[in-house]
This record gives sequence, C-alpha cells and structure tokens, in this order.
Amino acid sequence: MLFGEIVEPSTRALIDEDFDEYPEVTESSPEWQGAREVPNEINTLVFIETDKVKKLFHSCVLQERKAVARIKNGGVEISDIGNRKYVVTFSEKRDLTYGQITESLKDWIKTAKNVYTITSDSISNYQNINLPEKPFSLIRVLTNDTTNSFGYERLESPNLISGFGASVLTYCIHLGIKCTLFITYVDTSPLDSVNMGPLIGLLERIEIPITHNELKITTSASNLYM
Amino acid sequence: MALMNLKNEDLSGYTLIIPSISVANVPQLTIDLSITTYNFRKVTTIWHPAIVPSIGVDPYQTNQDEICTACELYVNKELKLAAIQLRSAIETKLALTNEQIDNLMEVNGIKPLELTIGGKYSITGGGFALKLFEILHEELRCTLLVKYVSEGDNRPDALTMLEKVFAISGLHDTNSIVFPSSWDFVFGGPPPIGIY
Repeated sequence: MLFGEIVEPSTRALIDEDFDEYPEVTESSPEWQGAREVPNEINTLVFIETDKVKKLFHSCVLQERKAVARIKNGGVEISDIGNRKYVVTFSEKRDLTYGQITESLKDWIKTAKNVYTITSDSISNYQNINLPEKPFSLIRVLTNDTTNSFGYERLESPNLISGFGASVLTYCIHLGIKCTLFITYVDTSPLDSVNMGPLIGLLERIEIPITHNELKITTSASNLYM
Repeated sequence: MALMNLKNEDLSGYTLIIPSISVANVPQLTIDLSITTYNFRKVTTIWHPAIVPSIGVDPYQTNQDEICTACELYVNKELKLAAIQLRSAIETKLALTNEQIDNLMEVNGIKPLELTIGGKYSITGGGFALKLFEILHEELRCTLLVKYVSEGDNRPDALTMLEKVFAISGLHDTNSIVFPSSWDFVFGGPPPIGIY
C-alpha cells in the first residue's frame, strides 16, 4: 500500500457492482445424473449443507451409500437412507443459483411428507442479548409448521440464515409447504462428542437412523495456539 | 412459479416503493421504518431464483411466529402505499428482461404510462436503482430517490429518506417514528463477559 492510497472497506464492494449493463441472461438448466424419477412416496427429505453437518452425516448416516441422483452443475447429491427417507447433500461447487437448484428439486419437496433442512454456523456469529456466555454449541429452529418445533427454541432476531437451507425454507413458505430449518451454532474447533452432541440429538428427534461411528478427529492445520 | 401470490389484494392506484441494495443500505432501513411506523401489513413473499436467500424471524414483531424471507411485499391500505423489502442481493445473471417485466406488469394489472425522458445518468454505489429506473420510466410514472451517505450509523439517513418518500408521495408523515426491534443490534450484540 502506498502512503496516501485510498483503501475502500470491503463493504464498498457494491460500488463495483453497479450495473450499467447487465450481463446477458444465460439460461442454465440442471444437469441430472442417475434416477430422474421422484419416488412415489417420501417420508422424510433432509437437506444438509456446511462442512460440519456433512461430515457428521457422512460418518454417522450416509457412510458408504452412493447417491441415487445428483445435479452435476448444482453440487447436489440425493441419497436413499431407507424407510422412504432421503438426504440431499449440497456443496458449494455449483453453476446454478440457490433458487435454481431449489426449483429443480420442487417435485421432491412437494412429494415429501416431512421437509427438514440442517445447517451450521460459527457460535461467534450467533447474537442473543440475553446470552452473554455462549455454550460450545446450540440448536435453533425456524419453521412454518407451528405444531412442532421438536423442543428447540426459535431463532431470535436479528440472526439471519443464508444458503441452501434458507432457500428451501423460503420456497416452502412461498408454496405453503411445511418445512423446518435447524441451525446448529458450533465453535470452530474440530468435531468432537461435545460440540456435535446436540446435532446427534437432533437426528434422533427427527428419526434419522444413526450408525454410531468413530469420527476421525483432525487437528488444526495450524499449530498456533490462541 | 408465481413471483408473488397476491390472492385477492387489489393494489390499483398504489405507489410502490422499491429499495435498491446500495451503499449503507439506507433504502432497506427506510422501508423498515415505514413498516413499523405506519403499520404496513405483509401480503406476500416474493420468490425468484435470482434472489439470494436469507431468512430469520420477523424483525418487527419478534414475539410472533412469523418468518421473514429475503424479499416480501408490504402494504398500507389507507396510505395506498406498497413497499418491497429486499433483504439480500440479487444474482444479476438472472435479471429479468424487458419482455419479462412487461409480462409481469400485464399479469399484475400494472398500467404503463406514455412518458419518455431523455438523457443518461450515473449513480455510483446505487445498486440496481438506475438500471431499474431506465427500464421502468418509459412506461410508468417513476421517481428515483438518491441520498449520498457515508457508511456508519445510517439511522438518521433513513429518517430523512422516509420524510422525502412521504413528501414525494404527497403524504403527511404525522406518526411518531417507531424503530424496529431488530435495530437494537445495529452495532452487534453485547461484548462477551469473558473478555473482562
């Protein structure tokens, strides 16, 4: 940086996004692989995202199961976990928008009896004026199904959730389909029985079969102690 | 997929306020103030795959079960005002074309006017505001309101903007201002006790 150089804060990034001319609208459609047909009956459809949640699911739920369908350019894999229950895994490697991916899964969503989404965020991002001491992890819920919140407290204002789970819940609200979003706020340390305990409890409550498995605990790539 | 489900709402003769995601988010703050001060009622969520999803509890009545999504339409029947609250960004690669906007206006009974304005404007940091204005002003009576601000505590800017919106709409803003409860966290939560 040069002396006197004006450095704009990152929030000014919007300035560069003024749209004198919009880019050409590119019609991209989902590239399905595997079974295109939606099952006649879906009891539970669980959408998962974020590394922590996916790691736990891969270790305790999905294990060696192969996806029955995937959207190649959407970063989406659908796995059958038995008893008419399906897990939709979402990765960030995608060419489509969250909304496009959600719309392409609308037949799955409409067929499902229960729609859940599970996401996670760092506990440091959780805001609660009445909770000055934050626990290692906690779960909050957002749902348009007023009959059942599974015993979890509702997410408080002004916390906001973004990502794939937010897109699915928004879509369900728009269509009038019941959907429940769970967010687990966890510390940034690697997965262990303490910070993942509440999430395993959640899987039991929404009746997702768990195979107890040892989590491979990996230490931080950095050996810097803060 | 319908962009919005207006059901039996008749918005004929209403003035629509659209906030652009722009520097300091003053337009969003202004819409927040309008909703809480003048008791706007939510009539529908707005869905489009270009809207970046964002979801939370109702920022105006936090003790309610209502969920707020990234884009919603609020109305005040007495004032004949409708306001879109947009709480996240737009994926520009999916922007509506002029033809799609024309179709949307037709479906929702929005009558175009025969007006043309020449000239070219530039607004730095104004988000999609100018582009939207350029698309709409040929067919609708459309006003683009811009406030130059610095980022920081922008609540006073929102108050000023609210006054202007009402002045332009020919309305008298007599209500005492009510701040949304979500504004309690404008500067984040309290510091953790552990640091002391």
